[in-house]
Amino acid sequence: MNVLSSVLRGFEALVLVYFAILTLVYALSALVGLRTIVVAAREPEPLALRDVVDRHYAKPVSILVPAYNEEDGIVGMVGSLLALHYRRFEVIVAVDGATDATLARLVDAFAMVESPTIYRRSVGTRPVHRVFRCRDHPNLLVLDKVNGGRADAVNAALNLARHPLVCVVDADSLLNPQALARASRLFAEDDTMIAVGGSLQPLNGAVVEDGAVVGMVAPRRWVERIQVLEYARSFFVTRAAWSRVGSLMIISGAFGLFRRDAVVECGGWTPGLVADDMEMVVKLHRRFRELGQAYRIGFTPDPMCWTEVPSRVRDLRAQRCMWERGILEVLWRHRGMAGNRRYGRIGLVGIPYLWLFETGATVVEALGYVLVVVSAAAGLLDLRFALLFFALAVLFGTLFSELGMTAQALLVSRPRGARDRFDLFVAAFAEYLGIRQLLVFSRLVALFQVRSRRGRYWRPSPPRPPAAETLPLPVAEARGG
Amino acid sequence: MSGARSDVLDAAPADRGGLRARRGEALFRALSVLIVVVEAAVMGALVWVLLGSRTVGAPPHSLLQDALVAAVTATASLLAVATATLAVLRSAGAGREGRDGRAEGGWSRAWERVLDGLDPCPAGPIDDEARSALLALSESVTGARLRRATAAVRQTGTDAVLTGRLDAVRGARRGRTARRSFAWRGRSTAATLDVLDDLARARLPEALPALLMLVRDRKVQTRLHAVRAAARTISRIDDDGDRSARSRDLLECIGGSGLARGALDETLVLLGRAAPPFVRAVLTDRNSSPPLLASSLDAVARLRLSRLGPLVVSHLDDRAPLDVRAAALRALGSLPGLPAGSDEPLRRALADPVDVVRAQASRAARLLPPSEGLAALNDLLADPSWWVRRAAAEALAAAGPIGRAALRDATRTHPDRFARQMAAQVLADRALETPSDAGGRAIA
Repeated sequence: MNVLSSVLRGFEALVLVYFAILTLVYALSALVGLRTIVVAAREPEPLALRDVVDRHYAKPVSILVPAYNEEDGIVGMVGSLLALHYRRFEVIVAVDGATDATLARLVDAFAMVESPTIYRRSVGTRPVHRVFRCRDHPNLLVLDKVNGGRADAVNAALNLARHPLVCVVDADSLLNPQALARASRLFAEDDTMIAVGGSLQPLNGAVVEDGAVVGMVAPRRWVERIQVLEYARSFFVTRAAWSRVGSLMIISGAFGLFRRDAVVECGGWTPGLVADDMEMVVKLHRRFRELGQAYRIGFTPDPMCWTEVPSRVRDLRAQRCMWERGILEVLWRHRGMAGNRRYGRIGLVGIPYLWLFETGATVVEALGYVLVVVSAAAGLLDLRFALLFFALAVLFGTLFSELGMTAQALLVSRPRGARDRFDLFVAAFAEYLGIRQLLVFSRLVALFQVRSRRGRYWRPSPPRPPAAETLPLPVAEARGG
Repeated sequence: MSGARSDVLDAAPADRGGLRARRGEALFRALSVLIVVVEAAVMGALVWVLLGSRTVGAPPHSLLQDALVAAVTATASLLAVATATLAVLRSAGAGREGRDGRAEGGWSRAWERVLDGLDPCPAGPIDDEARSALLALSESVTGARLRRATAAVRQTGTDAVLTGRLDAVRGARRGRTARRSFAWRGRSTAATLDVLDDLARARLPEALPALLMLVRDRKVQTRLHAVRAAARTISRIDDDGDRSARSRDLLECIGGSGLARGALDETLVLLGRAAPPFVRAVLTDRNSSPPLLASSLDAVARLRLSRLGPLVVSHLDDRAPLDVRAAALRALGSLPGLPAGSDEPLRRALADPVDVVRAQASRAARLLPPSEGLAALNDLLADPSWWVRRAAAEALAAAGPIGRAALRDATRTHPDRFARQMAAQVLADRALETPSDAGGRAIA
């Protein structure tokens, strides 16, 4: 019993110290990332955006869209891309061996014709069967290829890309019409920029008019509200901070702008990985540091892209398990960078942080819950201490969520109404009443499934048709607005 | 106006406020600092008590619990203060912004009447919403309306307000001490960017000296905003001599600014009619930096400054930096004819060991005597570099009926397989993009 007591006390100390460090890191992130937010709230402003859109100096962009079984939304999505406010760009859709009517719908909707195309295979991919072009939209190409996964599809599109910048978007995302203009400005302003990420926001609860998000209301389901908070914390605090210190290690696969030559230098996206988007950024850091070339990976917290997030707990679990496996896959793949001075801040701070406070947080938190149960069973639990610690974690988590939401509010044109803010505030507490614990244990299990489920993607369950009462309200009728 | 306009600009002025500075920024900064300080203190105390108890050997669990209670209390208090403050801030801010937006919308309609000559210009001073509406409107008007807008900027005292704010931020920045907090630095940057944005719209020549000084600022964001404001201002100066003089002043400041190539390209575009003398000055200055030279040479092509053709020739030298040579070749390709002394450098570039140079040279090869140019491009169709083959094929396709005929012949008779494929590909692409222009059988 003394041994058990010592072990428990020791772990208690470990968890406390761990929590204290993590709390400080998050708090500092809010402050460090704030400057990114402040500058982004002014740059680009309408004047500079218009100069980008209307004038000729902006770099042309190739938009790469990997598509697999997206028959329902692919035509609308491609149509919205073709309507982007940008002077020169092309859209390359890589249909990755889809088994539904994705290709047929594209060919029909855009009157595409098969056009044998000679292109430079900068990156090896699975075979490409056919290439289609469109007379009405000469900047639209669709390629039909053997299924090889998302990364392989992006690489195939990359091989056909003609422009110096490539933008990777998901087929189920809704892009901000000004996304290209805003993101490409960062390349114009810094010759060393090789990649730019933008913030991703949940489409759940967003009010969409004519293909653009014009407002946000709190989603009806608690699991969606919790994710709204998570995304706000992640993009408007954490990533803004990491970008500020030059150690951004992930650019969301739903929207990222890259210099084509930099991506080709790294051999394109790595097939067979769940987190190929994160792996590309880590690879860029690694390659350019090995080359000794000055580079920068930027981030703009401006809302660039909206994506549907899981609306059911089981889907959320599956997604987070996938992400957990993905992070560990990437970290393991690049384990040589950890603690390696050759890789500068990435090797000495960024990668160790991911090991200790992303992957490690899952382990520590899960063990914490387990040991509470063990302590209680052994009669060693100090209930007051446990409750106080839990209260501290909940309070700080809520505070952090509040900071994220406010940072977001500094950037959007229509801030949330009072009722929405209250709902989200309550959700910040509700997150700790079961969902968080469920996700922690699921993610812990996922860590042991990295090998057995290697490269296995999760796709969301088909959404249920919404009942009339669950449709988001138009902005004018938004509660508390 | 171009059809590709931001929908933000199409919206009423109230909606454009979404991308501007938000109210409550300063307070949010202060709260963030407070949170960091308090959490650092409570977490530090907690860890100290915990580790200290281990060192001493005694298990003062009660002390640890007291520290935990203090941490919970402090965090809860922070949360309460932050939530209440931010809620009030957002509500009050949203309300205020809504009122400001409506006011600005009203002013936009009023300014429309002033610029149409239907109403007299209101006497100054005017408030921020009126000023913002006037500056926004002045961006989209031309001719007589623009003249009235410019006059209104003066009559309402907007010019004095903006130059005063510029002096204020410059003074605040000069007075910065090493002990200034992060929050203050952020605020100063924000204030500077705001006033530079307004000056870019207002285009006040009297603000140019201060703007040019900020082009050399140590903060890259400030330099970018300042050079943009300066270029826009110079482009609006009516007097040719004054405009040329100011653009030379800008050139002096840009030289040591370390601005990125894209920013230099932007500057040259924004200079508008002031660009030609600026470009001439750059191309004739031996001390011009390679990025500035490359941007200026690209401006020759983009702005079709054919009379600067002779100045391009000197930058075709084999010893010039690669970016400069490539830009010079692009510029050469945009000219209606080869300037004297450029044929030999072009011939050398067509055989250059660097593929980028060969690719750019292929676009200018059409300027050589037809038989020589066609032969050179036909040879480049079989170049080892895909990009050079593509550039050569596109150059032939763009070289009129003779070039396209040569390309069609290449699809059948060129000895190199890759050349035949590339020729066919480019012809097929052109058939899709410009059906009226295409020749031969399109593969479709």
